[in-house]
Amino acid sequence: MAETDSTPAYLSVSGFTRQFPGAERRSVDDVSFTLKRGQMLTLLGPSGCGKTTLLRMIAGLTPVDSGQLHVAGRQMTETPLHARNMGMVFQSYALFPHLSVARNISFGLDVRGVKGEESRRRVAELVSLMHLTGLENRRITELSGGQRQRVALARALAIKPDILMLDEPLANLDIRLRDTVRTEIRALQQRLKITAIFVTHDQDEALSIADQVAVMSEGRLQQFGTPADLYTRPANRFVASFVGRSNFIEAVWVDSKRIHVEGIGTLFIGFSESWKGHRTLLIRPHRIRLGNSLEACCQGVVENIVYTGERRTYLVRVGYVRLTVEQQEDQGQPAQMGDMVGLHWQTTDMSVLQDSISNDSTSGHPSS
Amino acid sequence: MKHGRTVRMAWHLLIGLIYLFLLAPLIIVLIVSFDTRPYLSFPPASFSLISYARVLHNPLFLQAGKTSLLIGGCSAGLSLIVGTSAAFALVRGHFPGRKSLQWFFLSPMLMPHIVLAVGLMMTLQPLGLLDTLAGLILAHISITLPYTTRIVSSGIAQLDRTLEEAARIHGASPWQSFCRVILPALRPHLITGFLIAFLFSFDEAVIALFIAGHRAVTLPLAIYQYIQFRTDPQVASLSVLVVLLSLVPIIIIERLINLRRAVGG
Amino acid sequence: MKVPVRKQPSWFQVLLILPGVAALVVTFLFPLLWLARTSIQPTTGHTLSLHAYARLFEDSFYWWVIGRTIFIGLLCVVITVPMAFPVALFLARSQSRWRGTLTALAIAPLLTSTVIRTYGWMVILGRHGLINTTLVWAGILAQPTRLDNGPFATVVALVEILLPYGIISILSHLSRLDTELEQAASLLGARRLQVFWRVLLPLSVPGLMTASLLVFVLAISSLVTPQLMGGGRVFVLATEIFNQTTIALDWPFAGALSITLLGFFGIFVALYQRILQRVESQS
Repeated sequence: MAETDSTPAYLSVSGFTRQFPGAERRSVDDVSFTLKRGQMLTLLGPSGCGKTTLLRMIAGLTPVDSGQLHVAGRQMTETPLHARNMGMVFQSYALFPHLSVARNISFGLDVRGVKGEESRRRVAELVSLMHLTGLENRRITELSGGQRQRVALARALAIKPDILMLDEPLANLDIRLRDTVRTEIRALQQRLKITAIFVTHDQDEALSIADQVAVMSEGRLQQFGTPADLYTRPANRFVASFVGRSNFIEAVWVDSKRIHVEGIGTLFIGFSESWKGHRTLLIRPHRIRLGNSLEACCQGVVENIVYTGERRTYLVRVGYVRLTVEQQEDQGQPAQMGDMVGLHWQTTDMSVLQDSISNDSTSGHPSS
Repeated sequence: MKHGRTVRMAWHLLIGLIYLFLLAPLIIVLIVSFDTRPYLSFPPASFSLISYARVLHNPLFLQAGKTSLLIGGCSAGLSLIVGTSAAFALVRGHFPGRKSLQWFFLSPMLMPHIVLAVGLMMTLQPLGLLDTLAGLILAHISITLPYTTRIVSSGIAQLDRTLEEAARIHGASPWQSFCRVILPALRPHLITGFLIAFLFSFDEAVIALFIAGHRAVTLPLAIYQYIQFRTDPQVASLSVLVVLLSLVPIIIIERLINLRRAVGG
Repeated sequence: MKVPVRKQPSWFQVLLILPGVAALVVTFLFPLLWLARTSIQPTTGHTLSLHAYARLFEDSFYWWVIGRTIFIGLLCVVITVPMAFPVALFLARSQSRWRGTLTALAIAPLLTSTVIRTYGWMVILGRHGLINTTLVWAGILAQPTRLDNGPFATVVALVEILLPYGIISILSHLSRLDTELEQAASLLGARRLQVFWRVLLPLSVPGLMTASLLVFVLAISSLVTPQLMGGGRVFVLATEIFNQTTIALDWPFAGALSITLLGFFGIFVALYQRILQRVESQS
């Protein structure tokens, strides 16, 4: 960790802001982050959160109202599109229908005046790298979705981009293909040590492929961190609920052995660090165990059970609060509807959220 | 950056010049229409509305105006009724040869007007319809029918069928659902179809040149005949009035379903 | 086993389409057949004859007229399409809020009378018109010259009259093109001119071809403009057809000329389709 921290930032975005003419709010609002060379960043968020706009701002496809972009120490905010040397895989792939596979791949080289042997060698390299051998002279319309995707990637890689950008590249693929292509893209990115930005709305996709994840909502960056950071130490309610399933409880610190939870009452769970007033605590459903009532944190009544083969998901009413509990199929005795059950968890199963997005009126601190 | 600005300005200048070229004749006609001299010359010596007054007192032009409006209205109306009825069958029908019939209904669009004009002349002559309003109306139906059929067809194709189904389920008879649901939904397309047909008929000159010209004179024909021999500002004023008259339907069409789609882009 | 959900009785559909078919047969199909019939009508006797066509193709004057017609048509294409392309490009890619208005402004002339627009060109190019006045005032010309009749004036007016057709057919093609293709090209390092030459232009070819065909076909069949602006010196098939029907009253010959024009029309449409297929199957 310490070693990677000392390496300088390769890509640096600071204060990126964009408001489209006529739009009511900013599509991208004061977003800043840095990325190291060779890292894969995913921009994650629901549709309309501004992740694609942010990507297009970095690419230069969407004008930047304010903010700075540096790549490898060079100021790039005003650099014209064609001089940025960024590779992009569009969601629609945007392959040139009038050119063959090989000419699509060599397009970036052609416009740079790279000719002859050098261009041919590079195209051949990419064709074999992307498993496109034998398809060089095909027309784009003759290719399958997966093949088009690989051509688009090859075309972006051909120019040896400083940054590779992928805008929901898996969205137009068959569901069965997605996992393998995702793994391939990650392997390729690591092997070629390319700095890449990957836009997606799928949290599994985002976590599994990335070194760093940027979670966005309503144009703002909610959290920037490693996939593990996001899951175990979500910054706020939005991130916690967007990444994985979650239970939220509102709690007041009483003393180092007790907290008081709204709607449930006093729980004997200790936090060494104190806080003032209400705080939102997060407990992941699979961290709660069902057991006998005696030594439990609290007890409740099973109101609903959803069985999905691998696990059972219980909705348990505790006081005035409903908690979701997940049990592995082979884990303990299954409870029945209406059963009184004990819920077990420990301090380490909970995290205290730093600030909460004010979805409810009780915790209304507007994020800065 | 400075270079980029220059290129951009040159590009906009080019576009502006092409627009100027495109609109030049109409602009010039407008300017000349205010002149008072009895011959064609630029720039105008004075600005007055006298030639407009002359046009409005010229029985020849007034008669031609009436004829044009009558022919335009009749042929557009007939073309709309016939075209709408055909459009329903062409879009929703299930019968053999539907595709070829669709093509047949559009084919007059591809026919050079001059060839059609000669054919119409040879056909109308033995029927005694040359130089009559009826002949002109018939002729204009052939050139406007493809447009009305196509515009109404695209309207029908866009109709949400569940609307009708909802009307039927809630107790409307087929006829009621047609009058209360389908026709109101098609209104923009019906109006556009009528106006486009009217404009094509109103501005048409080639066919009129062949099959009319003495007893039945339309406005374009009157202008044509007038400028063959004289070029005083009166005809410019008339032209301005005719263009203004065409402008009303053009603006309505642009508002309703947009000009480009109506013309077929 | 696809069962139509609601099949209207077929007699009803026939009833719906019948008036339209009847109207087209009477006002379109029959006139064309009658035209063809007239063109092979003998002047005397009852048997059919091709003498009108024989006369047409034996007379070198008509070969010259045909050549002239095609030449003027091609000239109009060569000037109109390069003028229409930038405008269509501008309208297709503009972000301006005036875009809708400008599009309407480019198309609206199509719905105003050809006679009036030709008249406008007579005013511009006439002896005392805008161009002459300006040139004399600027000292370039000592005396006004006649610009308003002859092939030059005809082509200028035709180009202007056909420009909206060119714009609309290129525009409808361009607006179907994905703008991401141009963005992809720029990101891959292509400068604006390279984007144009390597991506935009090749992808526009079908639109440019449709525009060319439309302009050509409308140019070779136009009558009003060559008649008014030709000053009796521009002989094209259309003016010849008009003269034969209204002055010479030789209907079989006018019919033969019309069928010949239609024949050229057909040849060019077929040629267009062949080339378009080639273009689309290429690369």
